[in-house]
Amino acid sequence: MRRTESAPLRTSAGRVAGLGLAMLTIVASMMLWAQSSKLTSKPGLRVPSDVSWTEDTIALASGGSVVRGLILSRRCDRCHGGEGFSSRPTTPNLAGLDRLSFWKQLQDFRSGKRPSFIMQQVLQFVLPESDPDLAAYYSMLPTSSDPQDVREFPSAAPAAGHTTIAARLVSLGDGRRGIPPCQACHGPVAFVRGAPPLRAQNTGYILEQLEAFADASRANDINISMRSISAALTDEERRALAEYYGAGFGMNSAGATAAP
Amino acid sequence: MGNCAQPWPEKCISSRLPHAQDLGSALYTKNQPLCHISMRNRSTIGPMHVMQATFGRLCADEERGTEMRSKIGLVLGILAFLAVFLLMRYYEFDLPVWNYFFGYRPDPLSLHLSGEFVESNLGLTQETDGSLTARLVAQQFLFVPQCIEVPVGVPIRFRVTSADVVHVLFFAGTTYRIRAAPGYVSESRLQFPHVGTFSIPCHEFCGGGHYAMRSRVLAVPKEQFHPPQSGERSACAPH
Repeated sequence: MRRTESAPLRTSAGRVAGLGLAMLTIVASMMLWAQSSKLTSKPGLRVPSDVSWTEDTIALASGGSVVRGLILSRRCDRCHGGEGFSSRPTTPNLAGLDRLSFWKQLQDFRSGKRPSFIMQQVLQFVLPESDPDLAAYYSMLPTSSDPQDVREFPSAAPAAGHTTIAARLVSLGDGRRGIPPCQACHGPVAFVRGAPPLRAQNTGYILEQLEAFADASRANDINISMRSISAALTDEERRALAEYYGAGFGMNSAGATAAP
Repeated sequence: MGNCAQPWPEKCISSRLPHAQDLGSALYTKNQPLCHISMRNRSTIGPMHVMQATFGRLCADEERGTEMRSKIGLVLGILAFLAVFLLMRYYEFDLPVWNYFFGYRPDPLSLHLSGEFVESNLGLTQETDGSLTARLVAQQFLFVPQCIEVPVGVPIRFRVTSADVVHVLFFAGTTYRIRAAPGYVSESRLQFPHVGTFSIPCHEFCGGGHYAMRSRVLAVPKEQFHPPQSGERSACAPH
């Protein structure tokens, strides 16, 4: 190999190498072209909710007028209370709910994705354009206690042992079962879009919804999140969590040690 | 050099071997090149004679033989390097780039509305050729579905995407990890080596619930495994 001048393709070794490179590149691109995902027949499509959190949706849902909501929400006082706190354990408190999750639940009631006989009847008399206004109004209502108002919240302290169970689930979750801590999505620590704050919610309502998620009779949670979590909880844990939040222990991140 | 009739033309070969010395080859001594095997002091034919007869052209002529051997060595070396280089390039560059431009790119905000990762399409399914595919969605703060039952030792194709931020599925007990990024689908063929439960904790910090974020794969013996029927998606109970 004592050639002093050598162009790559002029040597036989260079030609072999060039041919090999070309062939291997062609083979590689053929392999890439042949890769396509093979999808078999899909089962019947089930959409949990028609809401998806695009920027437009968020702007729509959070762009309501509080004053309009104040006027329109008077018809909601009968069940949900004049100050956003209901007097019945299974009727949710609406005070302090964030605009996005409130608006989403109204859309799910309208589309039937969240079954509720009473809410579907009621919402026939509410224009869809009013939903953001109601959301704005209820998000501005305070969640502090009011002795003059007839309220279910806060209910009595949790049963024995339930506080510990619930506090552990709220602050740590259970890694073994893959249950995330409630406060990471609902709680004072962090909030995830679509997850309502639970700090001022009734015991009966939380228990009812957890049980509905567990047997999938309520199935409007996006990407099967609450259904998976609630199905992994035991009955006692669901009761404990409902009593924990209903007694006002979720008011701040100190949790069980702080009174409402 | 002259035309030499004998197969091992001793007198055709010069005793000086400039190429061998340049190459520094230990096979060549100054006066006894490998290819020049004399019959003078031998009565039987040995492997060296066989080699010389086989690669006769390489050996008969010192100078061109050396050059030819060097050329072949060079070509083989180039091909070996090319093979390694192109294989690496295919898996590390070609596949991701192709996937970036032409791969299926789901919208993380509307996974539940349409596309491959709607909730009715998640879980384990069987393709038309009998292979198994598992589809999961990673979100804050759980992998859905939370339990997948697979047969032992069978390659399962996992396709994962994220609904919000980057998560990493780490299959504890194996060396597999899959990065689920929003807007992309990560696909990997995994094989579970033994019967049991393989936990899937999240290995990329994704927020307050990251440390409790876990799913599992349940590997069962092949006899006990019931493949999902056509149109069915299967997932075992969470716990």
